[in-house]
Amino acid sequence: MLIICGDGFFVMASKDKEPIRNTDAPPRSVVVGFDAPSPSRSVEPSRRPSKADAAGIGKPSRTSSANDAELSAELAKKGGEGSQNPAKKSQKEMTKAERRELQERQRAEKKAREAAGIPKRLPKPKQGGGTPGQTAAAGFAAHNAQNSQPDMKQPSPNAAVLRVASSMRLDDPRKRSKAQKQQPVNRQIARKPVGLFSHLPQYEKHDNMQARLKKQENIHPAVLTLGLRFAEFVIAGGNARCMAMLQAFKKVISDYVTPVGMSLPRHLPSVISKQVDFLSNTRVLAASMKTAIRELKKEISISSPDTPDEDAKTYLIGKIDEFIVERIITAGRAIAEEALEQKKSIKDGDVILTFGRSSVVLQLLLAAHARGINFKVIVADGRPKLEGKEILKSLVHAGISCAYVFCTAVPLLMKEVTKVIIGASAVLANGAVLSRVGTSVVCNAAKELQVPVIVLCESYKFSEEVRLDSFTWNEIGNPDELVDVSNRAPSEHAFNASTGGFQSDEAGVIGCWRSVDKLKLLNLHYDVTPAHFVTALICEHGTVPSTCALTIARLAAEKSA
Amino acid sequence: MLKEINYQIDSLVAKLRRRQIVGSYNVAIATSRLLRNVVAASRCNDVEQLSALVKEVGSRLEGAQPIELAVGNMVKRVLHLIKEEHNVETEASDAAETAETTSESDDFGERRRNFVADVKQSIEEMIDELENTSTNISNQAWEHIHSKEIILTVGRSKTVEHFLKVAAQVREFQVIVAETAPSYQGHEMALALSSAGIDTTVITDTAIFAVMSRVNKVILGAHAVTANGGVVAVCGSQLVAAAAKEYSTPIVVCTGLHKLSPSYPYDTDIFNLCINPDAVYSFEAGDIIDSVDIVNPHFDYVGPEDVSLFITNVGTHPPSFVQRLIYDTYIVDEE
Repeated sequence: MLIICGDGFFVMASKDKEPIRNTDAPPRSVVVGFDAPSPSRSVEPSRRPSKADAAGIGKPSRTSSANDAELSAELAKKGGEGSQNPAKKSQKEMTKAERRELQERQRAEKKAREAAGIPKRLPKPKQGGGTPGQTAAAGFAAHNAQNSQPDMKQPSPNAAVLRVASSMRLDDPRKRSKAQKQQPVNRQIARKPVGLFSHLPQYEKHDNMQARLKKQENIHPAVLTLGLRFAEFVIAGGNARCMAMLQAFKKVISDYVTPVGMSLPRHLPSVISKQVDFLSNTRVLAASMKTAIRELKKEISISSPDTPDEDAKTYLIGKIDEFIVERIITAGRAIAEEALEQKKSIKDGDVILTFGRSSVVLQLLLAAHARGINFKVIVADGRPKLEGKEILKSLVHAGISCAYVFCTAVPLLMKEVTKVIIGASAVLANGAVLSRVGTSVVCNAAKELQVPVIVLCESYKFSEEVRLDSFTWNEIGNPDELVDVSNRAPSEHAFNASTGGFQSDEAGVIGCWRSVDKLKLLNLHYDVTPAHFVTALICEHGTVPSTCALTIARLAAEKSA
Repeated sequence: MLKEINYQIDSLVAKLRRRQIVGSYNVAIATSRLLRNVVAASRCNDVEQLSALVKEVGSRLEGAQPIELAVGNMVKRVLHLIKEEHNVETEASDAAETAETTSESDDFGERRRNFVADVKQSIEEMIDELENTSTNISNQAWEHIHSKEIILTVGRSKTVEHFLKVAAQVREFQVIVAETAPSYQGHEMALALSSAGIDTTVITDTAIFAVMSRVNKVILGAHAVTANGGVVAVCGSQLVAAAAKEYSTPIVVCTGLHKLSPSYPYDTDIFNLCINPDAVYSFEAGDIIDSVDIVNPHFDYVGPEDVSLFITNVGTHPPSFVQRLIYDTYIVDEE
């Protein structure tokens, strides 16, 4: 009430050219509306300015003040919905306030119509029923209720200026629903999301992703298969995912036919974008994939519109192959060479600790073994993925003597370790290493005992982004994985998931977590290892300190340009 | 020694050896009850004899399971009590002798019998104190937790669980529990806390560092506390301590006095115990098991430099004060 008075006063002072309007009835009526107790402030679609509203503005706006009073009374009865808007817009000039007032009135009218049972023009939110979208909406409500922050409900005054990817604004209910509408796959929002990560997508796991696709015709079958494999973690790891994606894109390009009246460099990127959108919906894109997509789009855009389609397609497929060979396969070999040069990273008698599964680390260890270097490997691993079991199998198969521990035992064994060698999902511009969750824990333990940490990373995974912690960006996995305590390797898991899941027989004590109201499970996929934990970064261009990550990122970008 | 007492001793030794009794509290209670019975049934009237008897029983128990430091702690507590009672006795008798120069041998025998009863009495008191440990620690909870705090803990410590539950009656806060694979004590802890209405989030042990930047306080339980203020705690504590150090997050250790051990960690590995690795890598996995060393430690050692505060049943102390607590509780120099 007080704010409104101030509002009126402010308007008076600033816009004294139109004093008559200030004393007019309509603003007063709004004030009356405010006066009513308005505890329940529901965020309904009807609140959003719609086409109907916009059209309504053109209607005769001067109604009698008696009518106004009636409407405002009605507004008060309805709980003063949307009443906070003018309060926030206090600095706006008079005409704006008037327009707002008009809008309120129209809304009230609409409500009255609705109450009277007259068919409404606005699409109403569906209620009841059992389609996935609606349950998602229910999940939403729970989400919102849990993480409702008063300042989030209203966009800040400069929201129009601030452009944030809607995928990173999921803590804002409106952005969330927008993002939800845009994505090609209907995914159900997690019913019990973790509050600290409410800005990130948290989904329930689906048995049948394909059934949830909104429009299948846009997605190439190869990409569809790939997406499902990503979602099931059949293909995991930065390099593997990137290569699989590029192979799928090769098929997409070779099957592509430019529509009549379009040119390939103009139209193909949009097709690729649709595939990428789908892939990013099944799992968050890795930095490696982002680089590959960027390069591919660049290649497409610089090709001449006059080139025949077939030539352009052959050229692009050739470029993709080149990328795979040069930036991934050869780079991996070069890193192993660089690391083994003059027995730099692995010597006889070394005890190497590695975490999780990294294709480059595996390559290096196998290369070192092939050269006859006698060393021991400790594979540290972290639940729930237990990808270390895969690398362990490869190492044991090659005849390297190995030990296997969970990451909690790492500090105990760190005394014996001479080097920690890890892979990375991405190296950020500040030298921080984005990698499978647990890497930071292991590097921290190494730092405690001054054991050198060597990070192997191909230059195409160097990113110009900067992140300080693991909260601002991350991937939230399926929380049910924490419940399973069978500790199988991922390859065995995939097999089991197809035969009917684990929840019934392997569930641990927290199998009932969904029914315990206050209990939440968090399954993070990545973490950020600070730059000062890392002793050296080895990429195909050589060995650098972690602080030089940005230099490498630039170098890689220049090379590809 | 009585046959029945001998049987009781053997039974406890067997239980300790088979790890049927685990956990400091259970071990401490069992040990002190047994020692009470031993003292009560002993026929010795002499302080030397009684001490020797308790020591002998103690060494048998300690030998059964050296990792359960609480056994030794309780034996030393009892020896301390015997000595204290003896001192009180001598002072009283000295006073009596100075008052009445004539003393009779009958009277003397009576006093000796009283002496054993007194020792038994003080052991009873000690057991009472043990049983109230958790409550006494928890009563200080609200002083150390502020509202909207994010607390991280690992494993399942009964003391910490009780502590947090009591704090939840006064304050609203959030707990993050590391699951503590492969024992999954964290799962049990999380279930217990969330059932009590505390907002609980389970994370994998790998995410400890990732979430530490948002954690206000780490609360750990202890298996034992060494004389220098170090903590022997559930495996994973060391990871948490290292991460907490990186972010300068305070670590609070909740422990009863019975966990204070007068031994020093000359070699921190002696406080560890490698248990069945089946939980880490299933024995059914086949040939790979034969060629891989699988380690599944049960405990971790956290140095005193990483601990900010000890909350015991007698109050709150910095790690440097542990030495003093130990001096007060046990006979350190034995003559």
